[in-house]
Amino acid sequence: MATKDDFFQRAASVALRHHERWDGLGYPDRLRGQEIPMDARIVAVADAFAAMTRLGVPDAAALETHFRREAGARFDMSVVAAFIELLPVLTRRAEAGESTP
Amino acid sequence: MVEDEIIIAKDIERTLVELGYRVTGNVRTGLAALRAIEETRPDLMLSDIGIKGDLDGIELAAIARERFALPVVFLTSHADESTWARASAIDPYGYVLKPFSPRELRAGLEQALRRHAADARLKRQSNTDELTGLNNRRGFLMLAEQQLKVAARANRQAMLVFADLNGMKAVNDTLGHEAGDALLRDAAKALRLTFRESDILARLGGDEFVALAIEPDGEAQDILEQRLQATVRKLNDDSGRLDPLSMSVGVCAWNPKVHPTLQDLLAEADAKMYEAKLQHRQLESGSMPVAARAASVTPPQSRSTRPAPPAVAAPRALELRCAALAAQARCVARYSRILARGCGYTEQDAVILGRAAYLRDIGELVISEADSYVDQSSSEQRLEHHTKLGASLLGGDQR
Repeated sequence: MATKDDFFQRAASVALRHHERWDGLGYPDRLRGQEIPMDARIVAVADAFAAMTRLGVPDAAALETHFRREAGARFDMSVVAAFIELLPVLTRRAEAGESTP
Repeated sequence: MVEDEIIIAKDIERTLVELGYRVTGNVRTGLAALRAIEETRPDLMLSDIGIKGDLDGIELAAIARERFALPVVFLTSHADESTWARASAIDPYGYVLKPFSPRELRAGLEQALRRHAADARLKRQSNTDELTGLNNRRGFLMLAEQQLKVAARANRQAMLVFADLNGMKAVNDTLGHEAGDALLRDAAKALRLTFRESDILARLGGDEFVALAIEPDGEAQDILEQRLQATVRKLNDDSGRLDPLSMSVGVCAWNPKVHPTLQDLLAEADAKMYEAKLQHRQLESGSMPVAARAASVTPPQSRSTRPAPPAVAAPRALELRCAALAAQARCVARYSRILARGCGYTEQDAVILGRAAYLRDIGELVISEADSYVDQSSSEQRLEHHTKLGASLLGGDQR
Protein backbone atom coordinates (compact mmCIF):
# COMPACT_ATOMS: atom_id res chain seq x y z
CA MET A 1 0.00 0.00 0.00
CA ALA A 2 1.13 3.50 -0.72
CA THR A 3 1.08 4.38 2.96
CA LYS A 4 3.71 1.75 3.63
CA ASP A 5 6.09 3.23 1.10
CA ASP A 6 5.49 6.57 2.76
CA PHE A 7 6.29 5.00 6.07
CA PHE A 8 9.62 3.60 4.95
CA GLN A 9 10.51 6.91 3.37
CA ARG A 10 9.77 8.60 6.66
CA ALA A 11 11.63 6.01 8.73
CA ALA A 12 14.62 6.40 6.43
CA SER A 13 14.56 10.15 6.95
CA VAL A 14 14.45 9.68 10.74
CA ALA A 15 17.31 7.17 10.61
CA LEU A 16 19.37 9.57 8.49
CA ARG A 17 18.65 12.77 10.43
CA HIS A 18 18.27 11.92 14.10
CA HIS A 19 21.91 12.75 14.87
CA GLU A 20 21.81 16.16 13.22
CA ARG A 21 22.03 19.10 15.61
CA TRP A 22 20.03 22.32 15.63
CA ASP A 23 23.29 24.34 15.57
CA GLY A 24 24.51 22.58 12.45
CA LEU A 25 27.29 20.56 14.10
CA GLY A 26 25.61 17.16 13.80
CA TYR A 27 25.85 14.10 11.58
CA PRO A 28 25.93 13.10 8.85
CA ASP A 29 25.43 16.33 6.89
CA ARG A 30 25.61 19.19 9.40
CA LEU A 31 22.13 20.34 8.57
CA ARG A 32 21.01 23.33 10.60
CA GLY A 33 17.73 24.31 12.29
CA GLN A 34 14.67 24.02 10.11
CA GLU A 35 16.63 22.09 7.49
CA ILE A 36 16.30 19.11 9.81
CA PRO A 37 12.89 17.45 9.44
CA MET A 38 10.59 17.87 12.46
CA ASP A 39 10.34 14.08 12.84
CA ALA A 40 14.08 13.83 13.41
CA ARG A 41 14.13 16.78 15.82
CA ILE A 42 11.54 15.05 17.97
CA VAL A 43 13.27 11.68 17.87
CA ALA A 44 16.59 13.35 18.81
CA VAL A 45 15.08 14.61 22.07
CA ALA A 46 13.32 11.30 22.76
CA ASP A 47 16.57 9.45 22.07
CA ALA A 48 18.53 11.63 24.49
CA PHE A 49 15.89 11.24 27.17
CA ALA A 50 15.88 7.46 26.74
CA ALA A 51 19.66 7.39 27.03
CA MET A 52 19.63 9.52 30.20
CA THR A 53 16.95 7.43 31.89
CA ARG A 54 18.31 4.07 30.86
CA LEU A 55 19.83 3.24 34.23
CA GLY A 56 17.38 5.13 36.39
CA VAL A 57 15.52 8.39 36.20
CA PRO A 58 17.42 11.51 37.34
CA ASP A 59 15.36 14.11 39.18
CA ALA A 60 13.12 16.35 37.13
CA ALA A 61 15.07 19.52 37.88
CA ALA A 62 18.32 18.01 36.60
CA LEU A 63 16.61 16.79 33.45
CA GLU A 64 15.01 20.14 32.84
CA THR A 65 18.31 22.01 33.29
CA HIS A 66 20.09 19.67 30.93
CA PHE A 67 17.55 19.93 28.14
CA ARG A 68 17.15 23.69 28.52
CA ARG A 69 20.90 24.09 28.15
CA GLU A 70 20.87 22.03 24.97
CA ALA A 71 17.90 23.89 23.47
CA GLY A 72 19.12 25.87 20.50
CA ALA A 73 22.39 23.93 20.47
CA ARG A 74 21.66 20.25 20.08
CA PHE A 75 17.86 20.48 20.08
CA ASP A 76 15.05 22.49 18.61
CA MET A 77 13.78 24.92 21.26
CA SER A 78 10.13 24.25 20.45
CA VAL A 79 10.60 20.50 20.93
CA VAL A 80 12.40 21.10 24.22
CA ALA A 81 9.50 23.31 25.34
CA ALA A 82 7.04 20.49 24.59
CA PHE A 83 9.39 18.05 26.29
CA ILE A 84 9.52 20.10 29.50
CA GLU A 85 5.77 20.41 29.53
CA LEU A 86 5.48 16.63 29.18
CA LEU A 87 8.28 15.84 31.61
CA PRO A 88 5.94 14.49 34.32
CA VAL A 89 4.31 12.10 31.82
CA LEU A 90 7.61 11.02 30.32
CA THR A 91 9.24 10.51 33.69
CA ARG A 92 6.35 8.38 34.80
CA ARG A 93 6.64 6.27 31.68
CA ALA A 94 10.39 5.95 32.15
CA GLU A 95 9.93 4.80 35.74
CA ALA A 96 7.18 2.36 34.79
CA GLY A 97 9.08 0.94 31.84
CA GLU A 98 12.00 -1.42 31.81
CA SER A 99 14.59 -0.21 34.27
CA THR A 100 17.55 -1.72 32.47
CA PRO A 101 17.67 -3.18 29.04
CA MET B 1 -36.37 -8.99 41.15
CA VAL B 2 -35.72 -6.13 43.52
CA GLU B 3 -38.64 -5.11 45.72
CA ASP B 4 -38.39 -4.16 49.37
CA GLU B 5 -41.95 -4.90 50.38
CA ILE B 6 -41.88 -8.59 50.95
CA ILE B 7 -45.56 -9.28 50.42
CA ILE B 8 -45.59 -7.49 47.08
CA ALA B 9 -42.32 -9.25 46.18
CA LYS B 10 -43.77 -12.69 46.80
CA ASP B 11 -46.88 -11.77 44.87
CA ILE B 12 -44.93 -10.59 41.83
CA GLU B 13 -42.67 -13.63 41.91
CA ARG B 14 -45.70 -15.89 41.82
CA THR B 15 -47.13 -13.97 38.87
CA LEU B 16 -43.78 -14.17 37.03
CA VAL B 17 -43.56 -17.92 37.55
CA GLU B 18 -47.13 -18.35 36.35
CA LEU B 19 -46.24 -16.39 33.23
CA GLY B 20 -43.41 -18.84 32.59
CA TYR B 21 -40.39 -16.80 33.72
CA ARG B 22 -37.66 -18.14 35.95
CA VAL B 23 -36.93 -15.86 38.90
CA THR B 24 -33.20 -16.16 39.61
CA GLY B 25 -33.31 -13.95 42.67
CA ASN B 26 -35.79 -12.04 44.77
CA VAL B 27 -34.00 -9.48 46.93
CA ARG B 28 -34.75 -6.39 49.01
CA THR B 29 -31.76 -4.06 48.53
CA GLY B 30 -29.49 -2.74 45.79
CA LEU B 31 -26.36 -4.37 47.17
CA ALA B 32 -28.06 -7.74 47.48
CA ALA B 33 -29.25 -7.29 43.91
CA LEU B 34 -25.70 -6.71 42.62
CA ARG B 35 -24.50 -9.83 44.39
CA ALA B 36 -27.37 -11.85 42.94
CA ILE B 37 -26.73 -10.51 39.43
CA GLU B 38 -23.09 -11.47 39.68
CA GLU B 39 -23.96 -14.98 40.79
CA THR B 40 -26.96 -15.83 38.64
CA ARG B 41 -26.48 -13.66 35.53
CA PRO B 42 -30.16 -13.05 34.75
CA ASP B 43 -31.45 -11.80 31.37
CA LEU B 44 -33.29 -8.90 32.92
CA MET B 45 -33.76 -7.03 36.19
CA LEU B 46 -37.19 -5.98 37.41
CA SER B 47 -36.71 -3.36 40.10
CA ASP B 48 -38.83 -1.10 42.21
CA ILE B 49 -37.62 2.51 41.93
CA GLY B 50 -38.02 3.40 45.59
CA ILE B 51 -36.17 0.59 47.34
CA LYS B 52 -34.57 1.30 50.72
CA GLY B 53 -30.90 0.95 51.54
CA ASP B 54 -27.65 2.34 50.14
CA LEU B 55 -28.74 2.35 46.51
CA ASP B 56 -32.14 3.31 45.21
CA GLY B 57 -33.58 1.59 42.16
CA ILE B 58 -32.28 4.17 39.73
CA GLU B 59 -28.70 4.03 41.00
CA LEU B 60 -28.87 0.25 41.02
CA ALA B 61 -30.13 0.18 37.44
CA ALA B 62 -27.30 2.44 36.28
CA ILE B 63 -24.70 0.14 37.83
CA ALA B 64 -26.34 -3.05 36.54
CA ARG B 65 -26.40 -1.59 33.08
CA GLU B 66 -22.85 -0.34 33.17
CA ARG B 67 -21.24 -3.33 34.77
CA PHE B 68 -23.34 -6.25 33.52
CA ALA B 69 -25.05 -4.83 30.42
CA LEU B 70 -28.28 -5.89 32.08
CA PRO B 71 -31.59 -4.49 30.83
CA VAL B 72 -33.78 -2.99 33.54
CA VAL B 73 -37.53 -2.61 33.87
CA PHE B 74 -38.78 -0.29 36.59
CA LEU B 75 -41.68 -1.22 38.75
CA THR B 76 -43.24 1.87 40.19
CA SER B 77 -46.17 3.67 41.62
CA HIS B 78 -44.09 6.81 41.96
CA ALA B 79 -45.18 9.49 39.61
CA ASP B 80 -43.48 12.62 40.88
CA GLU B 81 -41.67 14.60 38.21
CA SER B 82 -38.16 14.47 39.62
CA THR B 83 -38.23 10.68 39.98
CA TRP B 84 -39.44 10.33 36.41
CA ALA B 85 -36.71 12.64 35.21
CA ARG B 86 -33.98 10.70 37.02
CA ALA B 87 -35.36 7.36 35.88
CA SER B 88 -35.63 8.52 32.27
CA ALA B 89 -32.06 9.79 32.31
CA ILE B 90 -30.69 6.28 32.61
CA ASP B 91 -32.91 5.18 29.71
CA PRO B 92 -34.49 2.05 31.21
CA TYR B 93 -35.90 -0.64 28.96
CA GLY B 94 -39.38 -0.12 30.31
CA TYR B 95 -41.75 0.75 33.15
CA VAL B 96 -44.50 -1.28 34.71
CA LEU B 97 -46.88 0.85 36.77
CA LYS B 98 -48.29 -0.56 39.97
CA PRO B 99 -50.89 -1.91 40.28
CA PHE B 100 -50.61 -4.01 37.14
CA SER B 101 -52.24 -7.05 35.59
CA PRO B 102 -50.17 -10.13 34.67
CA ARG B 103 -50.69 -9.20 31.03
CA GLU B 104 -49.26 -5.72 31.55
CA LEU B 105 -46.27 -7.20 33.34
CA ARG B 106 -45.60 -9.62 30.53
CA ALA B 107 -45.92 -6.95 27.87
CA GLY B 108 -43.43 -4.74 29.73
CA LEU B 109 -40.90 -7.52 30.14
CA GLU B 110 -41.18 -8.88 26.59
CA GLN B 111 -40.75 -5.45 25.09
CA ALA B 112 -37.66 -4.85 27.20
CA LEU B 113 -36.14 -8.20 26.22
CA ARG B 114 -36.80 -7.55 22.54
CA ARG B 115 -35.28 -4.10 22.68
CA HIS B 116 -32.27 -5.38 24.52
CA ALA B 117 -31.71 -8.15 21.97
CA ALA B 118 -31.93 -5.60 19.16
CA ASP B 119 -29.45 -3.35 20.93
CA ALA B 120 -27.07 -6.25 21.44
CA ARG B 121 -27.31 -7.14 17.75
CA LEU B 122 -26.57 -3.58 16.77
CA LYS B 123 -23.63 -3.45 19.12
CA ARG B 124 -22.27 -6.69 17.69
CA GLN B 125 -22.59 -5.27 14.20
CA SER B 126 -20.82 -2.07 15.10
CA ASN B 127 -17.93 -4.12 16.47
CA THR B 128 -17.67 -6.47 13.51
CA ASP B 129 -15.86 -6.13 10.23
CA GLU B 130 -18.45 -6.78 7.57
CA LEU B 131 -16.12 -8.26 4.97
CA THR B 132 -14.39 -10.87 7.11
CA GLY B 133 -16.75 -11.32 10.05
CA LEU B 134 -13.84 -10.72 12.44
CA ASN B 135 -13.90 -7.95 15.00
CA ASN B 136 -13.20 -4.51 13.68
CA ARG B 137 -10.80 -2.11 15.38
CA ARG B 138 -13.43 -0.93 17.84
CA GLY B 139 -14.46 -4.43 18.77
CA PHE B 140 -10.88 -5.52 19.10
CA LEU B 141 -9.84 -2.66 21.36
CA MET B 142 -12.80 -3.26 23.62
CA LEU B 143 -12.42 -7.04 23.88
CA ALA B 144 -8.65 -6.99 24.09
CA GLU B 145 -8.67 -4.41 26.90
CA GLN B 146 -11.06 -6.63 28.83
CA GLN B 147 -9.05 -9.78 28.19
CA LEU B 148 -5.78 -8.17 29.22
CA LYS B 149 -7.34 -6.98 32.46
CA VAL B 150 -8.59 -10.47 33.19
CA ALA B 151 -5.24 -11.95 32.21
CA ALA B 152 -3.40 -9.52 34.48
CA ARG B 153 -5.57 -10.46 37.45
CA ALA B 154 -5.25 -14.18 36.79
CA ASN B 155 -1.53 -13.86 36.04
CA ARG B 156 -1.98 -15.31 32.59
CA GLN B 157 0.24 -14.84 29.59
CA ALA B 158 -0.78 -13.26 26.34
CA MET B 159 0.71 -12.80 22.93
CA LEU B 160 -0.20 -10.31 20.26
CA VAL B 161 0.23 -11.19 16.60
CA PHE B 162 0.18 -8.41 14.06
CA ALA B 163 -0.21 -9.54 10.45
CA ASP B 164 -0.19 -7.39 7.38
CA LEU B 165 -0.85 -8.65 3.86
CA ASN B 166 1.94 -8.32 1.35
CA GLY B 167 1.25 -7.01 -2.11
CA MET B 168 -2.36 -6.08 -1.41
CA LYS B 169 -2.15 -2.95 -3.51
CA ALA B 170 -0.81 -4.87 -6.49
CA VAL B 171 -3.69 -7.36 -6.26
CA ASN B 172 -6.26 -4.57 -6.10
CA ASP B 173 -4.64 -2.76 -9.02
CA THR B 174 -4.12 -5.70 -11.34
CA LEU B 175 -6.82 -8.21 -10.41
CA GLY B 176 -9.48 -5.85 -9.10
CA HIS B 177 -11.10 -5.19 -5.78
CA GLU B 178 -13.04 -8.45 -5.74
CA ALA B 179 -9.79 -10.37 -5.82
CA GLY B 180 -8.55 -8.07 -3.07
CA ASP B 181 -11.61 -8.78 -0.96
CA ALA B 182 -11.22 -12.51 -1.52
CA LEU B 183 -7.65 -12.21 -0.32
CA LEU B 184 -8.76 -10.40 2.83
CA ARG B 185 -11.35 -13.12 3.51
CA ASP B 186 -8.66 -15.76 3.07
CA ALA B 187 -6.45 -13.95 5.53
CA ALA B 188 -9.30 -14.02 8.05
CA LYS B 189 -9.70 -17.74 7.36
CA ALA B 190 -6.00 -18.32 7.97
CA LEU B 191 -6.31 -16.59 11.33
CA ARG B 192 -9.40 -18.62 12.27
CA LEU B 193 -7.65 -21.86 11.36
CA THR B 194 -4.53 -20.95 13.30
CA PHE B 195 -5.95 -19.51 16.48
CA ARG B 196 -8.38 -20.80 19.04
CA GLU B 197 -12.00 -19.86 19.43
CA SER B 198 -11.16 -17.99 22.60
CA ASP B 199 -8.46 -15.83 21.00
CA ILE B 200 -9.48 -12.38 19.83
CA LEU B 201 -9.14 -11.93 16.08
CA ALA B 202 -9.67 -8.70 14.23
CA ARG B 203 -9.18 -6.82 11.02
CA LEU B 204 -7.94 -3.44 12.19
CA GLY B 205 -8.52 -1.86 8.83
CA GLY B 206 -7.11 -2.02 5.31
CA ASP B 207 -4.90 -5.09 5.12
CA GLU B 208 -3.94 -5.17 8.81
CA PHE B 209 -5.01 -8.04 11.05
CA VAL B 210 -4.34 -8.83 14.68
CA ALA B 211 -4.80 -11.75 17.02
CA LEU B 212 -4.56 -11.65 20.78
CA ALA B 213 -3.88 -15.11 22.15
CA ILE B 214 -4.49 -15.46 25.86
CA GLU B 215 -2.43 -18.15 27.54
CA PRO B 216 -0.83 -19.44 24.37
CA ASP B 217 0.31 -22.63 26.12
CA GLY B 218 3.72 -21.14 26.78
CA GLU B 219 4.37 -21.34 23.08
CA ALA B 220 7.37 -19.49 21.77
CA GLN B 221 6.64 -16.50 19.58
CA ASP B 222 8.33 -18.17 16.65
CA ILE B 223 6.08 -21.21 16.82
CA LEU B 224 2.94 -19.11 16.73
CA GLU B 225 4.20 -17.31 13.69
CA GLN B 226 5.36 -20.48 11.99
CA ARG B 227 1.96 -22.04 12.54
CA LEU B 228 0.27 -19.04 10.96
CA GLN B 229 2.63 -19.09 7.99
CA ALA B 230 2.11 -22.84 7.58
CA THR B 231 -1.65 -22.30 7.48
CA VAL B 232 -1.17 -19.61 4.84
CA ARG B 233 0.97 -21.96 2.73
CA LYS B 234 -1.60 -24.70 3.00
CA LEU B 235 -4.44 -22.35 1.99
CA ASN B 236 -2.39 -21.26 -1.01
CA ASP B 237 -1.63 -24.84 -2.02
CA ASP B 238 -5.29 -25.78 -1.78
CA SER B 239 -6.59 -22.79 -3.71
CA GLY B 240 -3.99 -22.73 -6.47
CA ARG B 241 -4.83 -19.09 -7.06
CA LEU B 242 -2.99 -16.46 -9.03
CA ASP B 243 -2.55 -14.15 -6.10
CA PRO B 244 -1.17 -16.22 -3.25
CA LEU B 245 -1.79 -14.95 0.24
CA SER B 246 1.33 -13.60 1.88
CA MET B 247 1.69 -11.92 5.26
CA SER B 248 4.32 -10.04 7.17
CA VAL B 249 3.93 -10.98 10.80
CA GLY B 250 5.11 -9.40 14.04
CA VAL B 251 4.62 -11.23 17.32
CA CYS B 252 5.01 -9.72 20.75
CA ALA B 253 4.74 -11.47 24.10
CA TRP B 254 2.85 -9.34 26.57
CA ASN B 255 4.72 -8.11 29.59
CA PRO B 256 2.59 -5.80 31.76
CA LYS B 257 5.73 -3.97 32.94
CA VAL B 258 6.92 -3.27 29.41
CA HIS B 259 3.45 -2.80 27.93
CA PRO B 260 1.32 -1.06 30.54
CA THR B 261 -1.37 -0.36 27.96
CA LEU B 262 -2.81 -2.26 25.02
CA GLN B 263 -1.49 0.53 22.81
CA ASP B 264 2.08 -0.27 23.88
CA LEU B 265 1.60 -3.92 23.04
CA LEU B 266 0.07 -3.08 19.68
CA ALA B 267 2.86 -0.61 18.93
CA GLU B 268 5.56 -3.17 19.55
CA ALA B 269 3.94 -5.99 17.60
CA ASP B 270 3.35 -3.46 14.84
CA ALA B 271 7.00 -2.37 14.86
CA LYS B 272 8.06 -6.00 14.56
CA MET B 273 5.64 -6.46 11.72
CA TYR B 274 7.32 -3.56 9.96
CA GLU B 275 10.70 -5.21 10.40
CA ALA B 276 9.29 -8.32 8.77
CA LYS B 277 7.80 -6.19 6.00
CA LEU B 278 11.17 -4.60 5.46
CA GLN B 279 12.74 -7.99 5.03
CA HIS B 280 9.95 -9.06 2.70
CA ARG B 281 10.44 -5.99 0.53
CA GLN B 282 14.13 -6.70 0.28
CA LEU B 283 13.52 -10.29 -0.69
CA GLU B 284 10.90 -9.17 -3.15
CA SER B 285 13.20 -6.66 -4.81
CA GLY B 286 15.51 -9.65 -5.16
CA SER B 287 18.94 -8.44 -6.01
CA MET B 288 19.43 -6.35 -2.92
CA PRO B 289 19.57 -8.41 0.25
CA VAL B 290 20.54 -6.44 3.32
CA ALA B 291 24.11 -7.65 3.26
CA ALA B 292 24.62 -6.33 -0.23
CA ARG B 293 23.09 -3.02 0.69
CA ALA B 294 25.22 -2.75 3.76
CA ALA B 295 28.28 -3.24 1.65
CA SER B 296 27.10 -0.86 -1.00
CA VAL B 297 27.14 2.13 1.33
CA THR B 298 30.55 3.66 1.09
CA PRO B 299 32.26 3.74 4.49
CA PRO B 300 33.64 7.10 5.60
CA GLN B 301 37.15 6.22 4.46
CA SER B 302 38.19 4.64 1.24
CA ARG B 303 37.64 0.95 0.88
CA SER B 304 41.29 0.24 0.34
CA THR B 305 42.24 1.15 3.90
CA ARG B 306 39.08 -0.02 5.65
CA PRO B 307 37.32 -3.32 5.22
CA ALA B 308 33.66 -3.05 4.36
CA PRO B 309 31.30 -4.45 7.02
CA PRO B 310 31.11 -8.22 6.66
CA ALA B 311 27.95 -9.69 5.29
CA VAL B 312 25.16 -9.73 7.83
CA ALA B 313 21.71 -11.23 7.81
CA ALA B 314 18.59 -9.14 7.49
CA PRO B 315 17.83 -7.05 10.56
CA ARG B 316 14.75 -9.14 11.18
CA ALA B 317 15.48 -10.25 14.67
CA LEU B 318 16.39 -6.95 16.22
CA GLU B 319 15.10 -8.45 19.43
CA LEU B 320 17.26 -11.54 19.39
CA ARG B 321 20.34 -9.80 18.10
CA CYS B 322 20.62 -7.21 20.73
CA ALA B 323 18.14 -7.01 23.56
CA ALA B 324 19.66 -3.80 24.87
CA LEU B 325 19.24 -1.93 21.61
CA ALA B 326 15.71 -3.22 21.25
CA ALA B 327 14.70 -2.12 24.75
CA GLN B 328 16.19 1.28 24.08
CA ALA B 329 14.38 1.43 20.75
CA ARG B 330 11.08 0.66 22.45
CA CYS B 331 11.62 3.52 24.88
CA VAL B 332 12.58 5.96 22.15
CA ALA B 333 9.53 4.94 20.12
CA ARG B 334 7.29 5.51 23.11
CA TYR B 335 8.81 8.86 24.06
CA SER B 336 8.77 10.04 20.45
CA ARG B 337 5.08 9.24 20.27
CA ILE B 338 4.34 11.24 23.42
CA LEU B 339 6.54 14.15 22.34
CA ALA B 340 5.05 14.23 18.86
CA ARG B 341 1.60 14.67 20.36
CA GLY B 342 2.99 17.51 22.47
CA CYS B 343 4.38 19.09 19.30
CA GLY B 344 0.94 19.15 17.72
CA TYR B 345 1.07 15.93 15.67
CA THR B 346 -2.22 14.11 15.20
CA GLU B 347 -2.62 10.87 17.08
CA GLN B 348 -2.16 8.82 13.93
CA ASP B 349 0.89 10.78 12.87
CA ALA B 350 2.42 10.42 16.32
CA VAL B 351 1.96 6.65 16.16
CA ILE B 352 3.67 6.51 12.78
CA LEU B 353 6.58 8.56 14.07
CA GLY B 354 6.85 6.15 16.99
CA ARG B 355 7.25 3.28 14.55
CA ALA B 356 9.85 5.18 12.59
CA ALA B 357 11.72 6.02 15.78
CA TYR B 358 11.85 2.33 16.67
CA LEU B 359 13.88 1.70 13.53
CA ARG B 360 16.11 4.78 13.82
CA ASP B 361 19.32 2.92 14.72
CA ILE B 362 18.85 -0.02 12.41
CA GLY B 363 22.06 1.00 10.64
CA GLU B 364 24.00 0.85 13.89
CA LEU B 365 22.74 -2.64 14.49
CA VAL B 366 24.18 -3.79 11.22
CA ILE B 367 27.46 -2.01 11.87
CA SER B 368 27.76 -3.40 15.39
CA GLU B 369 27.94 -6.85 13.86
CA ALA B 370 30.98 -5.82 11.94
CA ASP B 371 33.26 -5.76 14.94
CA SER B 372 36.47 -5.14 13.14
CA TYR B 373 34.96 -2.14 11.51
CA VAL B 374 33.63 -0.70 14.75
CA ASP B 375 36.98 -1.07 16.48
CA GLN B 376 38.80 0.93 13.92
CA SER B 377 36.39 3.78 13.52
CA SER B 378 35.86 6.83 15.70
CA SER B 379 32.43 7.48 17.14
CA GLU B 380 31.94 10.36 14.69
CA GLN B 381 32.61 8.11 11.76
CA ARG B 382 30.21 5.60 13.15
CA LEU B 383 27.51 8.21 13.63
CA GLU B 384 27.95 9.37 10.10
CA HIS B 385 28.01 5.88 8.72
CA HIS B 386 25.16 4.34 10.66
CA THR B 387 22.71 7.10 9.83
CA LYS B 388 23.40 6.74 6.12
CA LEU B 389 23.37 2.98 6.28
CA GLY B 390 20.07 2.99 8.18
CA ALA B 391 18.44 5.26 5.64
CA SER B 392 19.73 3.07 2.86
CA LEU B 393 18.42 -0.09 4.51
CA LEU B 394 15.02 1.49 4.85
CA GLY B 395 15.06 2.43 1.20
CA GLY B 396 15.17 6.18 1.61
CA ASP B 397 16.71 8.32 -1.08
CA GLN B 398 19.13 9.95 1.36
CA ARG B 399 18.14 13.50 0.70
